[in-house]
Amino acid sequence: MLFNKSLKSLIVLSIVLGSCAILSAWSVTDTYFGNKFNNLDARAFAMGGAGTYNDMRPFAFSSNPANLTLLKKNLGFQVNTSYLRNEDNRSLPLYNSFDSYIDDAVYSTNVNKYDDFAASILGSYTIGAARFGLGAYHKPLLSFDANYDEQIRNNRNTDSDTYPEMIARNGIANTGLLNQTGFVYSMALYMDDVREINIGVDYSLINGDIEQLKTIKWTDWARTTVATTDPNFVLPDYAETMKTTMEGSQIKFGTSIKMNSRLGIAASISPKTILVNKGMFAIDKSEYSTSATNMVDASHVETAINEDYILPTEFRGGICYQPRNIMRTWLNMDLEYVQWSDVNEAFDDVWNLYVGVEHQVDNHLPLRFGFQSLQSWQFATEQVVVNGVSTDVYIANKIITPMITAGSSIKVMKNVTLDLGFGYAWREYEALDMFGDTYYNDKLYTGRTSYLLWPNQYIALADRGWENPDKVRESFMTLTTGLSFTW
Amino acid sequence: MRKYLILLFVLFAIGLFAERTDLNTASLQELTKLPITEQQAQDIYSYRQYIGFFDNIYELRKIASIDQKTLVRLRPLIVVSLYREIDEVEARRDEIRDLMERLDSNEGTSEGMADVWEDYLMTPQNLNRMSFDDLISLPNVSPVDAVAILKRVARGDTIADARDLRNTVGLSYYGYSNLRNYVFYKQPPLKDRLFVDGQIQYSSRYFEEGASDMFHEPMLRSDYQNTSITIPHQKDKAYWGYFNLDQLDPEITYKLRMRYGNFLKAGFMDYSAKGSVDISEKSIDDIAADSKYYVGYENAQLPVISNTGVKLYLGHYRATYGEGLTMENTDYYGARKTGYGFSKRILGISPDLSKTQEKALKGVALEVTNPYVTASVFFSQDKKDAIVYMQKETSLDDNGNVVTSNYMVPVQDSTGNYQVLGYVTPSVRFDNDDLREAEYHFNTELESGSNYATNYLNLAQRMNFLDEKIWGSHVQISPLIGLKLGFTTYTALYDNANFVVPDWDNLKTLIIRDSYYYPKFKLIDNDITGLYSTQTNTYKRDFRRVIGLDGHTVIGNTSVQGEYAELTVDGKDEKLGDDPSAYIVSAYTQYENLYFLTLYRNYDIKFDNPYSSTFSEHEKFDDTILEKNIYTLTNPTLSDMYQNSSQSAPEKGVYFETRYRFNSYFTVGRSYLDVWERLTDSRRSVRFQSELEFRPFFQLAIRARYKNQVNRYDDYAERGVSISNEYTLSTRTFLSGRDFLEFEYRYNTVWGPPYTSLTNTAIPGNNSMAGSQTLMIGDYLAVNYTHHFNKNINVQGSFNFWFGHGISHWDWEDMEIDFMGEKGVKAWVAVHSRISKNTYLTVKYRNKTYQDKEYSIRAYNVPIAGENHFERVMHSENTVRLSLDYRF
Repeated sequence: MLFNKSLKSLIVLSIVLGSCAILSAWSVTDTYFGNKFNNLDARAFAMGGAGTYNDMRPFAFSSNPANLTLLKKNLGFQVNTSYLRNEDNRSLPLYNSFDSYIDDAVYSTNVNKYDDFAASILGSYTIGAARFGLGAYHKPLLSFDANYDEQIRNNRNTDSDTYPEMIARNGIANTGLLNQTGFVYSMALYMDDVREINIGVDYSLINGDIEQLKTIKWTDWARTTVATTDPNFVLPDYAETMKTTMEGSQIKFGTSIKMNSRLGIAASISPKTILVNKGMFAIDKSEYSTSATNMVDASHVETAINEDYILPTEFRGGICYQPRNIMRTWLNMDLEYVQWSDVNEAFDDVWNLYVGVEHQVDNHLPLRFGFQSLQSWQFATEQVVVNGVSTDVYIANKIITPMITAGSSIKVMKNVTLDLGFGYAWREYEALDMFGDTYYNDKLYTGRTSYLLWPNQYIALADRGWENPDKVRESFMTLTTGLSFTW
Repeated sequence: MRKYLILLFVLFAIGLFAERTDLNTASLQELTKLPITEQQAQDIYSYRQYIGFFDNIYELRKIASIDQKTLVRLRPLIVVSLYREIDEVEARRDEIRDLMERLDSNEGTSEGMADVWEDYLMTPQNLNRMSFDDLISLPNVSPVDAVAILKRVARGDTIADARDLRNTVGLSYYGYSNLRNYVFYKQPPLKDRLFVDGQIQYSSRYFEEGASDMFHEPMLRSDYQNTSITIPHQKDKAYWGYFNLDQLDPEITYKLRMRYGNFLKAGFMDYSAKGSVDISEKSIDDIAADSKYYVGYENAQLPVISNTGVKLYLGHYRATYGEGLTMENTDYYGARKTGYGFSKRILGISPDLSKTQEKALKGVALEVTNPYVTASVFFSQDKKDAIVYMQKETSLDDNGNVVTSNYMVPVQDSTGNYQVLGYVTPSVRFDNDDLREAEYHFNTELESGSNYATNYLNLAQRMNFLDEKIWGSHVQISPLIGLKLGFTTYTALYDNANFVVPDWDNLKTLIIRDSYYYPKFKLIDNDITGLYSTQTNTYKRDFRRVIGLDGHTVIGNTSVQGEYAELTVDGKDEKLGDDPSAYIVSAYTQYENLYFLTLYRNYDIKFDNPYSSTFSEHEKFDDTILEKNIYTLTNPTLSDMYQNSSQSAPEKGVYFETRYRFNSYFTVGRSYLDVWERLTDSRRSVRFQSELEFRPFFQLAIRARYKNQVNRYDDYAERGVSISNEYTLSTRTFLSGRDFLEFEYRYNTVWGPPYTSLTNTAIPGNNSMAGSQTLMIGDYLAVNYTHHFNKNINVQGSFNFWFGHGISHWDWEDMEIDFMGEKGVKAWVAVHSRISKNTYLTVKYRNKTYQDKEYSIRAYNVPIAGENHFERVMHSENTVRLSLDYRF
């Protein structure tokens, strides 16, 4: 009977895990810094990501190596999956009749989904008043995946409630994942029956391939329209390609101290890490027509990339408090300091907050909820003309991303637990228009004084810079699952 | 924390059960010796450690791993001694828990007073020694109730307990039930000890519509009659874009209060509002300037002088006297603040950790209270935010020529003093240096305009600009119980600036940027011209002085109270009636199930007392150009004088209020009628609200509410007339386990008058007078639900749908009010968790999705041909609030 029940649970579990391994995408904003995976342990995720002190799950030592022996299990194994839905809304500013900037109208919405997984294994053993443990984990560290699609249309026939003509299609298709494979050693010293000190070290290898592609492709309608006027008129497609490989290693130190039966404190630090980023960046402008004229030249400009890619120093401290309550209760709270000034002096260091609670409301059914507030940096460059000289201006913009989380878990069988975590995060910030409007000025390619693709000749197609940026609203819905086995 | 161990069954434990294992005392090793698995022993141990002691052995079944067979097997081997962990503080906190939650819920409106009341809930005052002011400062305790108690005590009777209190002649049940938790009779429930209350709150919110509009207003060159001028489309030409106010930017509050009993008190609070920097980025000087802190000593019963108490506070404090006409320092405005029921004042000196910044008093305050005489003196020295007269900065170049810059500097008179238009509570307290850079940027644009407009920012906000010293005092005599006569005065000294308010014509050109809009400056704007000047043609001084007289008496079951205040302008201090004045008088008659409140107020236009916070229907500058025509202002942030005004509008009128409980089935809820005249433009209005509750049985309450307001009821041909109706029907069900479910439906109508205009000469056959009248309708639907998983965790949630069509709806959430315009949906959920007996966590999330007004795109001040019209614009707002409290 038990077997049947467990088998049924495993089947359900397999379906849940399997469904999370299909699609892939991330926020398009963080193409340089990537999107950091915060905490893939589904229990900690449901508690706002707070888990620097975590003696509950075998994956906990990937956040703090000292958690390996804190767990007090001879053997442990955990696999986590994460499924994320990202919605990206970009708005352009609207002006009212008094030329006041009043609000925004969304001009593109992209919904993408992604999945990832992580796993860990550990073993530890007690000898006298000490415990020694070894473990290994594999997890994604940064994701560079992103997809974006945008249509450029004129406004012909919109008053007749029909679709206007599509002039071009812009796209971003980025793939890339930095994986981290870590090896952890941890040791616990037992001061008495309750108090203990754990220290651990984590050495990890980080590597990944990143490919970023940004394209502007004219539609057949656009090409046909200009070619109908003059067969020699062609519209060049545009592509930016970046292919790099990152490699390096990271070290992390951690400690977890059980002060008494109620309170545990923990800290971890991973110093500034430099990865080697090698590859190429190319800009291609291609003609569509084979009967090219001298008005548009196909071009391919390629630049080699060989640079340091810096992961900033991260210090994270946390507590775990287990009070006496009418229901079993855990409170975890972490504070993280990220030294972004390691990357560039233009960036301020930031603090991140993670808070979570678990209540075993009824018959060991946990109700977890939490909150986190993350601060990250958006990095962009813009070319502006200063005193007649074209200069690159670097824009560093701090983005705050709050997230609320909730979750629960099911005990599948003895020693096997399935955790579920759900998170909803959102952020609002400004960003440069990713595709400048001047590219769609067909007069540049035809040499004519009037548009062929735009019915209204008064339109002045100009690139919007930082003086008039997009407003971006993103939301993230994340479902994490974690299957853990301990013995 | 002191723990008491109550050991019962000791003899049983020693004798009969000596060989049994006591679940409440056994060590883990002892538990493992029982015929159970190691995991089961661990589970029993963990239950005791982290959930609670066992009341009986059958509680073992609450542990998942202990089945019935195991329990039967264990039964002869185990025993449970009655082990109870009693913490008097925890017990007290449990006792007053509902009231604490209600106070927290009302914190948004009470603005800091909840702290004081919560302290009194935890450590109540001795009812037999409380003064009249002490009693009437408690929520829902009326003066009639207070007098009933005081008379009884004065007769030498000692109120022994709550039952005894209930027997007090003249004390209403309502007063009794609200009072009983704030007082003790013989022995306090808690002995004096250290109490600590720490709170961290993280809250993201969006600007309210008025502030959002204000910041969005652009600083663009005027193009009036000059089509060659090109208007740039740049977001940073408005405060909104320049300061990146589009960003998600949370408000963070840190608050720590400590006290020893009700004697020694200390507190600190830092509030980083949206748009301002967090405490981690502030310098020590900034923290000292912007945070709140105090240390204080209170003793209700001085050892030397009998029946005399003292309060001494250093740091931030609140001072409130009479009806708040002379002195009640708060930045927050609340309409119809009667001083009765829930809209109470805490009279006298009290500590202040509220978010009030502009009207904060920082210094020292001393209050001595005696049943016959009460006196307090206070001194405050603080820098205040102000609207400052500005001019372009000039300097000499290498050739000695005067060069004018687009940077702004404050205007100084011949004595070196700055010139100030008025106080302001900014929606965002921008750093002065950042403002200076912003103004430079704006001026560069403005100076390119035509000659019809002021081409620089001649008035601007400045943070911590005005050096203000306040000396104040209050003396009160109470010759009879319930009778008191008080005298309040304060003088605000301005060391570095003069308040300068020009006459009508000059003010018009000062605050309106483009001469095209001068006609917008209307009668209602008397509110602005009525601001106080320290320098005029008839007098010059460096202070503002307000003198007030207040009185209170209780005759039978009727309480009469009032206050008269006068702002010293042209007249003499000692002579009443020769200066702008304000007065309010109210009578409150109480029966067991019924009360009547009648209130009359009359506030002169020129009674400009920033430290007053009294009863009114409208806040100062309501409907003025500062609210209605922000786009015409030389600097849009002048509108903050209205947006965050805490003063009452100049008005006079009479207000009636009642509540009557027929029986347990029917109650007429708070119902009122207000008939008043706005003095700036003589607009007369009437507002009526009534509510009937039918409660066929305890678990069900059905409420119907009707609200009606007519503006300019005396002249229906006037454009200002409007008639609003609101009908509400709600059903509340009180489910088991304190769960709660409510449905509410509201229907509104607003009628506007025909707006006529002549487009051609009014002659026969040529009259194209256009006339229309508007009838706007809107409705609102809400479902509210509260579920308690157990007594330590509950979830509150609400779903609302509304259709406004020009009407604004309001909704009271768990502890904040929200206004909704146009149409949309909103849902919020809040989890309140008591982590431990000391720690509380609340996480609230809200999504509000709504459609806004019509927008259209224009290019260079000319409409774009073709498709540029957006009928509706969708907004989606996510907000979150995290609150972590530690109470020790």
